[in-house]
Amino acid sequence: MRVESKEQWHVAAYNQQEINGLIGCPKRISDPPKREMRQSGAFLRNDMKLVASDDTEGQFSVFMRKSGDFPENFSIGLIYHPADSRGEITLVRCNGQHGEYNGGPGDPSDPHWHYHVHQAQEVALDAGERAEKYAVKTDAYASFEEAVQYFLKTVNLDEKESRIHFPTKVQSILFE
Amino acid sequence: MDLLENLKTDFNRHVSFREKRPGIVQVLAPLFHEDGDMIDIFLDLPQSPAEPIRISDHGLTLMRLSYGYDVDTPTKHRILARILAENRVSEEGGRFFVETTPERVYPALLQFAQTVAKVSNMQAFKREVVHSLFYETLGDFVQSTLAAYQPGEHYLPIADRDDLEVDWRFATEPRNIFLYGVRDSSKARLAALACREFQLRNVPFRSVIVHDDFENGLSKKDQARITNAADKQFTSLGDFQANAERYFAREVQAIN
Repeated sequence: MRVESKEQWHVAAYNQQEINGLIGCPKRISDPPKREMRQSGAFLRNDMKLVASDDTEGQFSVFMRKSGDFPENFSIGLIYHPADSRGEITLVRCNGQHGEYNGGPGDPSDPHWHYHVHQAQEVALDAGERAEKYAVKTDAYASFEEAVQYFLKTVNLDEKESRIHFPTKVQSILFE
Repeated sequence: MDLLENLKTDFNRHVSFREKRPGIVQVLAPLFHEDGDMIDIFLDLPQSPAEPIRISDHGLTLMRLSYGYDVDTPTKHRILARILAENRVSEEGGRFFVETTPERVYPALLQFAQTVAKVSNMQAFKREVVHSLFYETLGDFVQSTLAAYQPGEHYLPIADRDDLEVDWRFATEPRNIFLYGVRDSSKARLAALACREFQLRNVPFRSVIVHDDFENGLSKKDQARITNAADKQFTSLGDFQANAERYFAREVQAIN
């Protein structure tokens, strides 16, 4: 049996410039989300697929999950599925207050309990770790609904499509 | 409470607790997922001494798994059920739990954490991961089962075209067999282009294409391109593994 080194698996699959470009490139919806989140076991879920509006190849999938027992525990994430054989990568995850998070690559010294955003980092890939291991605390949102709006802006989803599929409470009232 | 104090002692003080809801305590132990998030473990405290202590994930393990992997086929359900059964963990409405006594909480909790980690690693069965082993599996098969046909890797039939490399060349005479593994569209186009060029240059060969997934892995246009360029195709690795020996024997017989 051949055992691959971690370098062979990870290094140079994505560099930081590519990662940032994939997160920030303009996107539109190719497979829309459900109007409402649906129950799946003990959690609520919604999903959608995106494609880039520029010349970026491949597809993106978005997952939205919220715990049924503890609604403050949620995650909204963007996964990139490349057209080539590099393998998919989780680019961003906006998390709720699920429990402790234990620092970035090689840094076990910063456990915290706050809302936080995982973002793919080349340094994590180079270390053979999960791309999105590195996370930072955020005060950009304080609920699932706010996190969705923050996420849509972060991944640069078309504003019109964002308003149609994820209206804020104010927008919902205005358009009722 | 004695229960939590005892657990702290068992964990050599490397644990703390947070009241998540009345009667539900989250265990903050140094047990983490690969992305740095803590493994979700809760103690549902008994209402009376006669009741068991329930160690539960409150459904968060399957929620995490669903970010990129769904347990949505009978095979996946069977694997999940087996992991749970082997570790004596129960499931109810998507929530994993074990019920135990105060004396057994520590080992039960470690066993529970291990089970959560195993279920979380079910994503290793993901099609993409299996897919990424395609070339390795194909190479192993070629070098073992087809060794009699003297396979050589990375062959260049045209000296001045080092961009047109053959994955595997079999030294059958008078015509070699050139084999390409094809996992995606870009490889399909490269293989089609190479076969066309070899034909134009009158290289004596027969081309064999082994697809990872011909039906779902290639666009209609790429399916047409490779079909027009190749002499023989196997639509999946399983198809090739099942029929390759017979095919090579017939092919060599026909060549000679």
